[in-house]
Amino acid sequence: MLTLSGKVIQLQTTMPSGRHLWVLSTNPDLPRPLRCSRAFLINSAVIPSGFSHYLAFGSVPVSLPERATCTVLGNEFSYLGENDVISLTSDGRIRSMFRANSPHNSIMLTEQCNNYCLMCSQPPKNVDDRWLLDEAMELVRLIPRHAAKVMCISGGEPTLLGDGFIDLLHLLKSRLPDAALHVLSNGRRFSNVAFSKKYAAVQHPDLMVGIPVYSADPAKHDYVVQAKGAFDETIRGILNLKRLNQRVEIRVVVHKQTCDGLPALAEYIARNLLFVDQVALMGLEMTGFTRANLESLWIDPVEYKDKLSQAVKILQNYGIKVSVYNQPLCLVSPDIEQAYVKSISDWKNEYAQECGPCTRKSECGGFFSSAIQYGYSGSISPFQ
Amino acid sequence: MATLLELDSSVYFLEAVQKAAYRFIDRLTVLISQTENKVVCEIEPVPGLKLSLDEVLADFKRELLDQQLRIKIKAETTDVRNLVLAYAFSRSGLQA
Amino acid sequence: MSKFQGLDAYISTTGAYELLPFRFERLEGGEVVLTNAVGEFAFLPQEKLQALVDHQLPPTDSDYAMLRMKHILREPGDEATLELLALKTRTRLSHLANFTNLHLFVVSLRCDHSCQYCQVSRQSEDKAAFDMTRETADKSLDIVFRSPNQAIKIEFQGGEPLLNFPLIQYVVEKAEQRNVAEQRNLQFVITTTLSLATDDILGYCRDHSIILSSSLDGPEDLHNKNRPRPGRDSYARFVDGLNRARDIVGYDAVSALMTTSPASIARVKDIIDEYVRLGFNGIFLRHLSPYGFALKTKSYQAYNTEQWLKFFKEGLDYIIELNKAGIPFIEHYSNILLTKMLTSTDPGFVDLSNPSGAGITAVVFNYDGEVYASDESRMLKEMGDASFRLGNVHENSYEEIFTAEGLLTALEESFTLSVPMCTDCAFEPWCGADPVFHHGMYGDMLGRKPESEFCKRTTGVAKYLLEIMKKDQEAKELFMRWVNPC
Repeated sequence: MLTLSGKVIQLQTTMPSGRHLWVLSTNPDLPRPLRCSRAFLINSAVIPSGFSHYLAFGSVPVSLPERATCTVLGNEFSYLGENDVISLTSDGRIRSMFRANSPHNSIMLTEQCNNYCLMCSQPPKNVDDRWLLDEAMELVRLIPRHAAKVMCISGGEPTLLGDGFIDLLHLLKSRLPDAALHVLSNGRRFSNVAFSKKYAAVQHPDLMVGIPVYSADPAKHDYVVQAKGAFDETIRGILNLKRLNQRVEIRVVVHKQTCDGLPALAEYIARNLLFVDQVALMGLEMTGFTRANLESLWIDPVEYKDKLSQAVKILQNYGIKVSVYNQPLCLVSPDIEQAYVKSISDWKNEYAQECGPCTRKSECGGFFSSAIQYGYSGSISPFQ
Repeated sequence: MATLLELDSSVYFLEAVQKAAYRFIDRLTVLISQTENKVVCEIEPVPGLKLSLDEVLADFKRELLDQQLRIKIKAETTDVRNLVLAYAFSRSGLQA
Repeated sequence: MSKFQGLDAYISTTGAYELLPFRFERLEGGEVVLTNAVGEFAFLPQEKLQALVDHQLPPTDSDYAMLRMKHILREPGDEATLELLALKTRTRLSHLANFTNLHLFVVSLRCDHSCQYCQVSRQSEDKAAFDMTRETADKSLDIVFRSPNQAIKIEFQGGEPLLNFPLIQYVVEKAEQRNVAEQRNLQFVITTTLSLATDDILGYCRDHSIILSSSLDGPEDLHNKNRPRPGRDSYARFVDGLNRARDIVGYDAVSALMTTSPASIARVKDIIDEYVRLGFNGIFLRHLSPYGFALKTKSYQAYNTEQWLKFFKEGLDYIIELNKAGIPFIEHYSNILLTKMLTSTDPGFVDLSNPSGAGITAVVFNYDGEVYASDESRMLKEMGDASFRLGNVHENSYEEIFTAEGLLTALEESFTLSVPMCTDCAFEPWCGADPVFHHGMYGDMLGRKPESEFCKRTTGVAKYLLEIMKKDQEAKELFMRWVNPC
């Protein structure tokens, strides 16, 4: 588990007030013209001059250049590296905004949402957080042009930003041309044809939106997302997107409320939404609202593994690309291994104690760190 | 000797009786007539019928109910069916 | 933290719902099968049917959600449902706009076999009388390329087409030349017993990507009995031709079709075993061919259908067993129905299409230039019934042929959505019109469905497939793979 945000140990002098974003460098030979816009990560005795700011671990180094400003960080931030982007606030908070080495970079555009999923890992807040969009735009302008290969855009519900969301997509296309974009959205806003057309008009070369559909039964889906009429809007949104040739992934979080209906959902997708680009079936994350609704949500994955296998087979039989994420390998049936992906974001991934002797750890997606903390299946059995 | 079936025409529409009779055309010959508030069936087995007439008649009576149901379903769903077809033939669209 | 609402907050409190177009048929064991406007099916205990139609089925009923997601009922606010039904409807009908794909060229009536059920072949050396000429071929090709379909299939038939191989070569090369400009997806097939397939002929097929459709009626004794030829060696010649064709043209370039005769009825496993033994990956369990048999009494017809259904079910069960044992093997007739039951794709099978495949899916150019709506139409003419003759390539234009009375009447009068009994039948989305068969058998385009062998057969197979899918999940998944080849 990586610490993505926290407090600095020591903040030194002249920091601009509010929040400041820095691109990091660990390269002492970085050409001088580039140094003034970057912060240098000190990891040895060599401290090149000319950088706009310096970051050190543990304590302020003696050989710091004159008049240089320096922030001291704890070792939990030692993962930072070249081309990473951090934000520093004048009250001493540091946050990792972009990690060049990671395939799991994400931009959170808002904490507001028009759904209220029982298992939401990012519980909605009804606050005016438009500054998040501004920060996102600044971030996109700052990330070195070819450093980003994949960017996830999420929230809350990113499409609530309307034109702001579309503008960000345009900016990403222009500033980070190598970045494949994965948008996480409940899809409801796309039921508005005009909005969908603006989205399609971005003509991004590598853009996919992941939209959850939790059941083929509208009542069940609406219940899981705690919003009446959500299913209908979501499906119409998906249809609009596909009419405009946009790539759509359907996501399903598998838990007590969705596992029984999985095969029926698979058939529903096969008969009605055959044109979706892929389907992702995902394990439950024990964070956010999940803990508040544990009674309704928690079920040991071994209890639904047959339903999961059935759903996977149906989708595969119809030629729909399907992937299974966020499940320990020992809790799924071997017949779905073709669809199995080792997948939990690196910063929230761990293994349980029982996993010690397991021979297939390297193929396993492991657990959410939240599971280690709050509870996981009693059926974990290491492969011999 | 023909079996006579007198049906309340507010319960069994003429159309339902005709359709049921048609379905049974390989087993029964049905002559249908109408009075004030009844639909009357004169029923004879088709020559050479191997099945028991009682069984076939019982089946026929059940079929009458089914046909009546079908009429009800069709009447109720005509509008939405036309709507769906209108959608289907409109200019824009996808294929499932 | 805000309050989360329970499931009941999202279930309709009024219980108000609207029925969507659906049809039903009763099954054994107290269940009903429902089919929606686009042929998706659902099972319901029969007690619930009346409640459903009377709007009395409660939203908490265990089948309610299923009926909603299968588009048999909808609640106010279910707008996506209408869009989806429209989409699926359009997909199912989209093949119609492509129009004619299959063009059959009967290049010769001469044949070296004298099969009992064949009406068309001639035992004759007189080429002038029974072979297609180049002039006829040219005119026929003109008609072929008038089809708007991007995919054009030209299939050579007979008699034995290889007896007029030079004409086949002529047509292939002319078509290829024209296709340089036309840029269609052009496919060639020769229907042949393979008894006369020399290595040279096979080499030509390889060079022009011609696939071969042959006949295998079963094990040697059965095959030879059905297909007499001088020398009584039809089977041996077939196997020899098969092996050489696989070597020269390609393993998958040869397919086999069976003809079912009364002698076949008791031997379905033997027949399937023969197909498996010879390395085929599927079989088409065909119905009894009516054209060679004068079916005069109704009881004979019924006897045939019931016996055939027994034959079919035994065959299908056996094939499913083979698949479960790890031998991939498809039953093609079921596959046509299953494609319609499990997908929105049209399988494009002429004899089970609605509207009828006559003209729309296929057209036949006879050796003498006469044009027929289908292969069956041609056979019917040989039996004295010219109702489905559309014209002659030497006398009529494309427009005259495709708007001929024989075609339009057949299409219109047999349109299953408007026809007695079919219009109410739950299996109609999976079935087809066969005006030619009914006309030949009963004197009109429809026949009386309760008496129709076609109807009994299709209904029998449909019900059996439903039964299998209901109780055998593994078989259902197998069927899903069959209908989605890729």
